[in-house]
Amino acid sequence: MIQSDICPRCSSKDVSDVADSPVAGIWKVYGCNKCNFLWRSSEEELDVKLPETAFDDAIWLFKGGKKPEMIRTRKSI
Amino acid sequence: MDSNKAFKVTIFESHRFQLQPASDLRHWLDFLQDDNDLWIIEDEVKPEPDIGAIGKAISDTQGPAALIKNVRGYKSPLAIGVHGAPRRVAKALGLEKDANNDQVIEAWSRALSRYPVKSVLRSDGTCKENIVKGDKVNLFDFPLHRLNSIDGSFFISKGCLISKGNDNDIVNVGIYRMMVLGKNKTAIMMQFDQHAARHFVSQEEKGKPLQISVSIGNEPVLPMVAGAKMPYEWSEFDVAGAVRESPYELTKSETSDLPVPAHAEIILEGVIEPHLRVFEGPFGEFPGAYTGYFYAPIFTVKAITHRDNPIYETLYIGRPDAEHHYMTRHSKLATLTNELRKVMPKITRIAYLKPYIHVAVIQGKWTHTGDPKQAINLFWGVSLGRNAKITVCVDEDVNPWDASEVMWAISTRVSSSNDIFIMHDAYQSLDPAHISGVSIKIGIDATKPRPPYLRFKPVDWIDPPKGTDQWIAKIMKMKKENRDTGVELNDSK
Repeated sequence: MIQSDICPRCSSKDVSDVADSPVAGIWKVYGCNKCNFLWRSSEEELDVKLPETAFDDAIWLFKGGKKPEMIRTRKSI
Repeated sequence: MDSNKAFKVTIFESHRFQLQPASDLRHWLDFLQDDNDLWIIEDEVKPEPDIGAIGKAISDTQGPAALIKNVRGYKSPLAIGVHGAPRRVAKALGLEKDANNDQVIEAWSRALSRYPVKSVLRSDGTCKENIVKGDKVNLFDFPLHRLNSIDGSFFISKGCLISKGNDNDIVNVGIYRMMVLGKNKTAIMMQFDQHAARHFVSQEEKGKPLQISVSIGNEPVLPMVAGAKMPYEWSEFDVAGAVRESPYELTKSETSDLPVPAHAEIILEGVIEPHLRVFEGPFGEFPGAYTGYFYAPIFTVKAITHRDNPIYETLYIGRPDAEHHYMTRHSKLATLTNELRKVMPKITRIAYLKPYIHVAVIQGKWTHTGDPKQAINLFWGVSLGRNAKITVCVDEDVNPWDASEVMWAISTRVSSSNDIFIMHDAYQSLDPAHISGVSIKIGIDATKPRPPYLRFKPVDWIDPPKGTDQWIAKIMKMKKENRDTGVELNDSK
């Protein structure tokens, strides 16, 4: 069972419940509000640790026009 | 086998006699089952890592498509590997299961010459059997899963995205990876020259959202068309109609005027928000490596329509060759060849060597010393050619599908550093070796010397001795009769 209160990828504690299994009580899905990682409570193994600089090279798709608001995380959408 | 038949009754009975063959995913699965090319998995399967592992196993073994009835915690079945073997791609086009690469491309070329076969709009559709809107929208009703272990979330990998631009009335359909962010949100990864991206950018410049619909669980032709790159002015629905030689049946979305496949399993409807980007990635992509992160637009799902007991279809993507490669290899090549021949009729065939689209081979009836290099530059200039890192030009006596023949041409017909050239600063954000989305392309002219400038002194190349073809036919016949000749014959010749 993977922890529900800490992001397996970026170790943030800012996580929230996202979904429950359609068949009740089988698993829950959690989401990280810092790095957008989603994971399921029933996943047995997650080796997804990120270096601090992982997002530094993120590519802005189709640059041009007005600069979009880079809200980055799922928290505010 | 008994359990398979039982499943057919429970899932397909209500629909199987109402529609034409292969007009939807259910009928295609029925056909595959009758053809012993469908694996129905009754046992409970874990979303992770089992679904990805099954998809990888099907791709590696070119095994049967799989219909997983019981994904742990979900109520809906899941199909994977529907395009996970070349024989199923051939069968979906109405060809013999052992059709070779050239025959499949020829079938695509014939289909493209029939374009357009106009789609028809129905007032109803089985995709409307259930309609969910607003707060009740929940993507997790369907068996979402992490396909490969480092993927940043659960990705929708086989959704056909339907959108329309302001500049014409053509409806485009393409496959874009969608990273689930919540019950009604996904990120969408689009590259600047993809059709939906063009539609989105033109709306975003006006500060408006782009309406889209996403069709999941389609008959087998549409994903092959959507995964290729048809001309912008063409509707993929009318291409699919040309391939199937019958009009594609569409119906209207619930929340917009966009047409959607009338008999799809699941339709997602909503908008891509302007001026917003969110972290997307990583995702295990077709080169066989995870991409890094993108700032990607956000899809808000406003309605979902689906059939009773919907089958969620997913696509395995991973190190070549995987399902994605089988699904789009020939449709992409046929489109490319069609496009490039209009500009340069000397091009005879274009092929991809394994691994998939990273090594392209252009065969031509070259007459001028500059032709091959010009063909390579032409190829790099079209968006489908963008993904090839190495592009080789060969003559008509070299089979472009055969790596050993291509290597022979390179090792005997490349003369100087002029025959190997590099384009720096090429856009390619999915190349694992990219730096800020920029990589290189390598062109190799492996052709014979031609006037007016002879790259090296012409030599006499050894042609097969007279009668070789007849002897090959005899050996093939022996091989067919299961007599061990110890000879490996290449059926793509």
